[in-house]
Amino acid sequence: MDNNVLIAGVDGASWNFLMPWINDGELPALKRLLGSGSSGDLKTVVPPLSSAAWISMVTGKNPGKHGIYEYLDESGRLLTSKSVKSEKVWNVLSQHGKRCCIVGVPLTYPVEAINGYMVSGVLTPHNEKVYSYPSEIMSLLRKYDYRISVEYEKNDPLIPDQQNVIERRDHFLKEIYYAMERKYLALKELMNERWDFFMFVFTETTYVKDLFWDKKEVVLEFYKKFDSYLDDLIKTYSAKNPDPYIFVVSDHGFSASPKRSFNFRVWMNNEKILEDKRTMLQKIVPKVYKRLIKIKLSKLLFLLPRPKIVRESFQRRIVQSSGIYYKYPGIFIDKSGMKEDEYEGLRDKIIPRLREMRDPANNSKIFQIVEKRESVYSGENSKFAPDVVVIPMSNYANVFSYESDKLVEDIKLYLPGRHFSDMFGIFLAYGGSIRKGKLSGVSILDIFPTVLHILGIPIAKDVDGKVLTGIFKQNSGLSKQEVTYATEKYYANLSEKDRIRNLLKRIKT
Amino acid sequence: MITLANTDEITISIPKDLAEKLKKRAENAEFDSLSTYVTYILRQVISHIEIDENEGDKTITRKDEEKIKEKLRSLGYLD
Repeated sequence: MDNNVLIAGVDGASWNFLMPWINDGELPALKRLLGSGSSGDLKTVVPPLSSAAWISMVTGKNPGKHGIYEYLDESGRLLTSKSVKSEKVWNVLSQHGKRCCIVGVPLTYPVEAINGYMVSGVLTPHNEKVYSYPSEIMSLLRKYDYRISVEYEKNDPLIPDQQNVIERRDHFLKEIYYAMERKYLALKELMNERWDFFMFVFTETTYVKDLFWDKKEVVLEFYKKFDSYLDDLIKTYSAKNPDPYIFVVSDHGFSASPKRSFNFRVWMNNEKILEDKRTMLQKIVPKVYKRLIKIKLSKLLFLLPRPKIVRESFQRRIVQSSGIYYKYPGIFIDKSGMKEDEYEGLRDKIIPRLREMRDPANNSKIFQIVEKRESVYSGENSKFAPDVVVIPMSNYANVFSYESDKLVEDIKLYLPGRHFSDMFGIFLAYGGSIRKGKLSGVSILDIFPTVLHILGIPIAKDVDGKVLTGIFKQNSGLSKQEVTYATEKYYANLSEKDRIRNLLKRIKT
Repeated sequence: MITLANTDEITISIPKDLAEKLKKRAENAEFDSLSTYVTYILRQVISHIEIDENEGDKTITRKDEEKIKEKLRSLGYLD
């Protein structure tokens, strides 16, 4: 019988907080899988955000190719599944006649027609009536009162978004539990069929940490529940799909929220990289704003939609007109009117200084990644990446602000946890002819080609990841089977398929 | 005429000139057979028609977009 694969996605999980719990016997399913599978850290992409990371996993390509860096495009519009510029694993498998079921992967709305079922994940509009392919699956989802995500609705419209979340976190915790349970029940039913490839993602495992990272016992209780669901889902899936290859993976790690901030605007002014060209009005407004938001009543002014938009566009204008600015995950340089050697000179000046940067208060290193764009990304969508990629250490938040004149200072974020700096998720493979052991150097880009290898499908040459041949038992079929890359003719076939599909996309019924 | 051996499949007839045309394309693109090529085209056509019928060409409205952004802000994922 042909091989089949199950991918269980655990958003935001990392071994550093899971291992102590596993060793204490708190997470028996993970412990069992670890005991007989291959495991290690899973290095994610920059930036370590769910959208960029999951899309990198399901395409095997870096963001420079698939074009997904965060949640918004360069003009501030929200990304959708249509923004992804590369073939996803379910496209390739569908083309090869493999049956796929995909549930809860971020950035899959609107859903695509695949050979199987698809239920979109986070970034689906909350009132959407149909978010499955085929639409008939909606009746199954409705039966279980399926929730794509949790809505952080407000009782008091004057409260800032994050303050609302943290003040009502006990209430939202119940909703996060509920959403996870509903998804688990729907998955159980969806698993009751024959599949070649099944992938689900629980985003709830990050939400609980966003809200409760300061109360580890709450996070542990939640993960114990998750662990029991995982156990049951694997059993359910395996009953219908014998001897599956199972991957338990996450998209990034997790940390406590940063306690210090580094202000790139101040640094660039100090280094004479950035001239302060603001008008008097532009200088006064941010400081007035900073004072005003401290007064309870004036919050009203800034929470109304219009002032909020005015404030955002005001800030964007002064930031972008500066010609050089920081926006996570890096420094953007306006090259127009700049000679190539001037541009390179500027980057060569910035990079070593930032790499050396230490916090004057405690001498801690501030940045973990400072690289030129082309050292991190490749592909035609690299042009949307920062000119210099800068990821801080987890205790630091990078800001570009005119509201303060201090280079490094204390900050207090509402939420206790964050993952803007956490480059390592979890990798765990189990079942089939997968051997037991530890593995290092696994990249999130490796999942896609490894799945194709297991299912006997040739890998396109522009895939960045590599097949994890080290996870297979010696002398097993898969360890002996050579990794197959697609021939030029094979591309011709696929491009004929693309031609047909693209033509059809233009024909509206 | 396309003849299929598999018992889960049936035989259908198409005009000979069309079959010749399709056969050439199928060979150039290295499809296993004319049948797999025709099946592929039909599957794609049907799935696209279905998705159009079910959902139309979906886009996210500005209002929905703001709602999603608000949620991302609530969790600190957006400034």
